[in-house]
Amino acid sequence: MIAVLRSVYRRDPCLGLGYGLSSFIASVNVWTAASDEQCRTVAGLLLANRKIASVYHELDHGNDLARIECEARPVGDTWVLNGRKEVVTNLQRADALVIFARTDPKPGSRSHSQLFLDKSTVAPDRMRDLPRFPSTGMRGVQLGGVEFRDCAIPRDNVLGRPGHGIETALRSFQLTRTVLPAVMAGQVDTGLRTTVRHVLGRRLYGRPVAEVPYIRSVLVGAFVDLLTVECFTTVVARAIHLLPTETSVYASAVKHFGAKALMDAMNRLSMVLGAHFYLRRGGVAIFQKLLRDLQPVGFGHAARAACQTTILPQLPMLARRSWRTPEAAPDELFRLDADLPALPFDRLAVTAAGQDHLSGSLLAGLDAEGADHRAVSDLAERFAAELRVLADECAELPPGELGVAAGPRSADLATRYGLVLAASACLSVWRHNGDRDPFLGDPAWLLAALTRLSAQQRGEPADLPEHVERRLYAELMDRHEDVRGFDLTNRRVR
Amino acid sequence: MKETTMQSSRIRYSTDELRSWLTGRVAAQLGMSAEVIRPDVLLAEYGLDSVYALALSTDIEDHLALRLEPTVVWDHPTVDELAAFLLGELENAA
Repeated sequence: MIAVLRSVYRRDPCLGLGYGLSSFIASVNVWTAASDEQCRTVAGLLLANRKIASVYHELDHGNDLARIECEARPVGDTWVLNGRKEVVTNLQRADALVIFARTDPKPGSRSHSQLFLDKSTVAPDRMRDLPRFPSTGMRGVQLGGVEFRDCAIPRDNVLGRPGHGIETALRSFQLTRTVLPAVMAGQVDTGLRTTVRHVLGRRLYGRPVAEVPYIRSVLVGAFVDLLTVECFTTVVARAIHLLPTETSVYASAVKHFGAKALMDAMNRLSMVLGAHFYLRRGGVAIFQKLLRDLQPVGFGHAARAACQTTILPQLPMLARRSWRTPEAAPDELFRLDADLPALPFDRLAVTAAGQDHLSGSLLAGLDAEGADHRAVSDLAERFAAELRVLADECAELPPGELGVAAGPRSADLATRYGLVLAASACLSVWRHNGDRDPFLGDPAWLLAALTRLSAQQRGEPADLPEHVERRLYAELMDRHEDVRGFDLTNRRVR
Repeated sequence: MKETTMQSSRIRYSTDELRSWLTGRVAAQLGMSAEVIRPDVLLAEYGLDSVYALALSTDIEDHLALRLEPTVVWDHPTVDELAAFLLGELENAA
């Protein structure tokens, strides 16, 4: 599914969101919590090409789910819904809604539920569309609002146990937090292709722009960052199948890391294009649209800050229960051609309970690799050392530092941990796929990926060894010429 | 050997001790004084949010050597209710 959506995002992210991801976001609540009969109803709708909107957002509360106000009161055999929802994708266009509503006036985490509503069953005076919210990017996607007035929904339309809505959200949105950066990498893929095409045809300072060393570095950097994001998102997507009890942390970490990596890469490419990326006509014009459309990766459907608040409280237990006694994940997690078991929705958990086999694989890899490749080993050892430092810092974090009131140093721990996980994902993908794909088994890209992650961790500029940069630039040019993707699959994209 | 120590540490807790330990953890997490927190008021009223309540559950697991649902603080949302539930769990485990 990620592969299909990514190719849509490569061409038009609005189509990907409006006609793909949006219904997916609503449906994961259903697959996670609903009865078999409800699942069949929703599957029927989706198979008939109809849309479902995920109706959570209220402007006053953002990602703060526990304070959502739109209220459903139990009256007889119905829920009576009152309140407003704002800035919701496809609200007006959708045929059915999954509504996150308060079903208990008490404050706390057992006071909300998801309600399924087929719009065709609602009397027009019970539900009023609010004016569309115009947006800077993703302009083709309708952001709507709605006001419910004594709108009756059958009691049976609650998804899962009443009051368990926050639990359902935290469990099911692990899928969407993973899929979002994975598919939006497609936009950066096109951004990179557009930039390469532009610099190849342009001469400045008496030489082709593509031969300017700085330009080469930026292009190779974007290529490497794409591969890194893809390693991380692919491994987490596979973890949802293979290690579902641990993905509460990974899904938030990959969204937090991936969103920033993609936006940074795209912004650096825009500097290569200079004034051209600002133009709305000509061969490069697609770039400014993709750049605008990329912004939601940072705030859309769980802001980076919200991801951080999922990770932060879990750090002390991860440190105490996993990082100090690392255990490796099973090999299938990283073997891209290994079959996956069906997705076990019932095993997704609200926390990882301190379990983390992905960072455990970082250390296990070091033992296995030995001195095979000195530079890779050195870099891997650096991340292993960083994990030990993180373990010491996090194990004893005072409880006051785990909440919304956490200081910037604590907040930074989540970022640093994300870099370690990304490094471990890259290392493991490299180690387990060389037999299938010679490029993936070549240490050049891995060396570049680890060097760039390590530079971020230290706050230094990333300086790739000359031979590594040359090797990756040649690969980039080959793929450009053959119109192959700048991703792990390395397939032709047209 | 380890099991025996855990058993004895389990038996040691009285309702009062458990309440005051829990109050102390919540107070520390929220950066407020323990005296302010009343055992019969919803912890969410003091601003203990969903994800931090989840972190509290693992603290409790480590402290009492129990295995708990991560949502235990959501389902027993005051210090009184939580202490009563945990005492029951400790008795079952003993």
